[in-house]
Amino acid sequence: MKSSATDYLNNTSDDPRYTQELILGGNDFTSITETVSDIVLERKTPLAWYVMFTITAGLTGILFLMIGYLFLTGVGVWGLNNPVGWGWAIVNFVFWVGIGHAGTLISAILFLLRQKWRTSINRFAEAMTIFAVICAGIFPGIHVGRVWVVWWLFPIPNFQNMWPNFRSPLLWDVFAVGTYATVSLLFWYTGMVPDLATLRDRAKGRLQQIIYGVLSLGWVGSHRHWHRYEKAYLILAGLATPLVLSVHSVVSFDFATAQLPGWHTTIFPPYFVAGAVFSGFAMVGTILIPARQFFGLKEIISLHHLENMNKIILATGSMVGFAYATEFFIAWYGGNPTEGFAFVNRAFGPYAWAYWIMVTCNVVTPQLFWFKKLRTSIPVMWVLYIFVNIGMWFERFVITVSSLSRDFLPSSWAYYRPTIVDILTFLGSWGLFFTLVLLFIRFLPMVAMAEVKTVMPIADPHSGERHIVGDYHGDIPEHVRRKGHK
Amino acid sequence: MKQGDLYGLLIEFESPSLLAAAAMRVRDAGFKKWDVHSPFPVHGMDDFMGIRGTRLPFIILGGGLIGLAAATLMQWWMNAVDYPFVISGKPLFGLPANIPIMFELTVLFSAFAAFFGMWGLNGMPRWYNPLLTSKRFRRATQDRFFIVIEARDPAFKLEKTREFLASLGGSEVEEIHESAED
Amino acid sequence: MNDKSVRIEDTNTSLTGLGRRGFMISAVVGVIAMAATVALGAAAGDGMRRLGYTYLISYAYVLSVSLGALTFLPIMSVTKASWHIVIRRLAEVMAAVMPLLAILAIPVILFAGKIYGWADPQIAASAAMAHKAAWFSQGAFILRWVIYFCIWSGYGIFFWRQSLAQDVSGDDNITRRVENLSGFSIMIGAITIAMASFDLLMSVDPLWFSTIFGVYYWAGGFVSFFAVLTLLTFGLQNTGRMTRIVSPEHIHDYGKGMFAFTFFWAYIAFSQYMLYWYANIPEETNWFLERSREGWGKLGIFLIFAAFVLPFAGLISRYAKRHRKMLAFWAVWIIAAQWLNLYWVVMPSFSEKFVFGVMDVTCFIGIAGLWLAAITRLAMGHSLVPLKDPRLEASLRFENA
Repeated sequence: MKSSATDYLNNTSDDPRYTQELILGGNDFTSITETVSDIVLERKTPLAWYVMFTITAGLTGILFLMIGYLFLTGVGVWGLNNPVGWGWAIVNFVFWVGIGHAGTLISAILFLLRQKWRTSINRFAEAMTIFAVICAGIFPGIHVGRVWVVWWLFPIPNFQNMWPNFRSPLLWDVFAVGTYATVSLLFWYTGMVPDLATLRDRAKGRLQQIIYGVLSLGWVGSHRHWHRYEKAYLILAGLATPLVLSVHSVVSFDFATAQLPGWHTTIFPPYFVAGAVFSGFAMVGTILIPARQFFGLKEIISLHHLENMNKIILATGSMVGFAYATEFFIAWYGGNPTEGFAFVNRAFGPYAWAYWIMVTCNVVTPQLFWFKKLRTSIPVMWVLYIFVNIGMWFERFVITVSSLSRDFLPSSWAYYRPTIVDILTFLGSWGLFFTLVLLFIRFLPMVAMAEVKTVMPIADPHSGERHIVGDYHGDIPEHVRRKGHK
Repeated sequence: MKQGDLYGLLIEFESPSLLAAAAMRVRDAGFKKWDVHSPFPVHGMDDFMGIRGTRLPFIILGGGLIGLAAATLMQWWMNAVDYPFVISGKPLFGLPANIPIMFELTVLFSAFAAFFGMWGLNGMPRWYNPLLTSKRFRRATQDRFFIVIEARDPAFKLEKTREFLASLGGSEVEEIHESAED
Repeated sequence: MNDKSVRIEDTNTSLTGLGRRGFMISAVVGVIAMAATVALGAAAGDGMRRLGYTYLISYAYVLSVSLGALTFLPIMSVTKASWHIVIRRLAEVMAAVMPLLAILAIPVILFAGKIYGWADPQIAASAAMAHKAAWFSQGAFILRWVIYFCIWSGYGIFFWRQSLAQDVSGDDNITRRVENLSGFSIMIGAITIAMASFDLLMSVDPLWFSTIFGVYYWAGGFVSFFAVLTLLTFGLQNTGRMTRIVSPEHIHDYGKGMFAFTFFWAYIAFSQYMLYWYANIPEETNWFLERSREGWGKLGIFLIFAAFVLPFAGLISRYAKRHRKMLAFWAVWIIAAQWLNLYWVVMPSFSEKFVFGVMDVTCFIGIAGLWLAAITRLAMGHSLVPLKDPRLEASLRFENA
């Protein structure tokens, strides 16, 4: 093991005998608590935060302006045409919902798989999930045309004695995304309560004490509480795991239940889920890298964490590539001429440019993560994350638009172009997303302190050596020391 | 304001291993109304304290079954009974098209049961806790570990219990009262 | 709780005393069952057609278990998992018998003319088949199987040899080397398993297609792999091998594997069915139509319960996942249910009416017996545990936290 003073931050050794330290720099419980909660309680809000917040809040304003304009005028302000009745709104919806999958994957699935490294990044990823789902929820809501009857989506008793059609995948979406948003929120909040209590106990201002006091529900770290808490957390994770599969599967059903060539294929559900995780991880990385740099979290969110994320990106990116290939193969194998045409059209038709952007960003460039040098290089990974974000947006664009613009009847083919309203609405949704991210960073603990503490070696009551249960001679481990032991 | 009644005795430890050893001794001394407070769940503490399982899983199972039943009945009654209409040639009620919502509501209700059930069993939210009157105790959510034996424990005898706690190798024993002096 | 003081020396990690007997018994049972199957097949008087179908089903099933092992190993390797090290040799041996499965594939190729729709001149002449005539020529079909088995055998034997070499040398670089190649093996495995499932099972009805079919086949095999692993472990432990080192914590993970992939399989099966049911396009629904009448439909509904609802409910609790007898029961159940699922996938192409016979059972026993004999033979003379794996210690002390 290399362990010179300069590269103690590199914990990406592949030595199989060595269990990777997740938290570096000789941190202990005290320093973890200080590092994370001081960002919220002590540090003066940096000027850069205000600058960024102004920009993102401005973009959010544009979003609501555009929505207002849309409501006053109608969906004609978008670039929709016949036959492309689903344009950017659906693309953006699927894009944002997809982003929202990384949080639950990290917090639930990796939890069940005992991936301890998740603890450093799960809070952040879960927060991002919720914000992405909020952004996603806007688009179908404003796309219904007659917004004043949007409540028809829900089974609300009414004087017309009508009920929604539960056999429609669009209604499944309402339930799937609604459930996902709710469960993610419960999960996120449950995970945050012990940390909010930490903030309550460290806060100096009366207002802060009251707000964090109320939010932390009176948590005092009682083990009798922890006992049920851990059980509930485990079961919520168990519930969230099939839920996360179901959400993007249901989103994929919106397309796949239709008979349209290029949409109707059985691999869509798992393929959409893989793509969602892929895009979500890329988005987590996109934000996490500047955040850990800026807030001095490099010892908590280490290179090892990032490398693991990159491996997941490589795996899910390859799954997506596998799905693309399978679709092409079966389009040929199945022998349906319109299905075959849809795929040739994707690759060589009027939207070929979008298709090749998608393939390059989703399938080709992530393969660079096979090389350890590249997947442990911060600039390289950040650039590749951006590529994935772009590629996954284009994936949804290609699926939605290329199939619709050239369907069964050549006489009704048309080329789809977004209008400035489409573009500004999408841009505005980024504003909303980043506004929420900035607020989160400023007011809530962005690392799950309590969970991080559990994966530190000193948290083990038998740390150090093999005690026999019942050995009363506890010890304060030698390595409970602040920085510099390396 | 005068100090309230005695709530219990508090002792602080520096590490999970010290806490674990002490917890086992409190357990073996036969106390019932006592608790361990730590900034994170200490692994194995259920056994060290002698806590048995919780009924939470059954509450959650119940929630899930209610969700499943609600989704099934709702879809059947609304689409096949109260407001039947044929669309895209689908049966009014046919499992393939109704399973997604059945699944989602099962998960939703289970999650509600898990969330509210857990806080409910824990007696939370609880806006006032005598323990929070102790300055020292604030580190229970940060970096220190505590054991509290409550005064209402049948085996609690102020002096003897204080001596017992002091013998556990933690910090000085502190008295906690129902309300703090102001 | 795991007994933290357990050491590898405390247990018997060799097959000595059991291996030869196990090999002989399973080989003899396998050969007798195969002979009986052939006799029954000949007696059916349909030119061995029925035999061909049942052989395909049981062969595809046993192959799926080995393919499960062949994906389990690299997945564990790339994730640097340690819990499975004590039982890894069992998975390795299941993956290393690929050459035997290659030999057992020969009858499938010989029977191809009788079981595959594309070999039926009438279907082959239809317009929908014209563009894939070359794909479904005998030569191309055989060539693809040669490629699949070269890759699978290569990887299966690679994992096995490297692991045995580490028993001798204790070289940590072996772990690294296996890890480096595991990523590629997962990718190549995904492609070949999907293609093989199209060839082996989907092309029984060459006009039907489903992009998810590869995942469907793999998921059934993967859950079965966990079930077989459970039974093998219990069998060895009941004869005094690998005791103590494989703790309730490892057993718990078997239960989780069976539970999770039962659900995953159901998710895939539902997606495939629902999407075709919903869009209702004749060329796609026809396959399900054949499987939903004349008794096949009843079997299909039975399978929803047998392959999903019951094992899901049975394995949901932590208690069941750690209870040896219950887990063994569900392992046998899952093997039967997943085999029956392939029966439902294949057999309706043979007969519109529900059929089931002794031959189907003997054929499964025959192939499974030969497979078991092969893994026993291969494991003889070697340790049942990778003794010098760098993560062995972590595996011994593993706990479900």
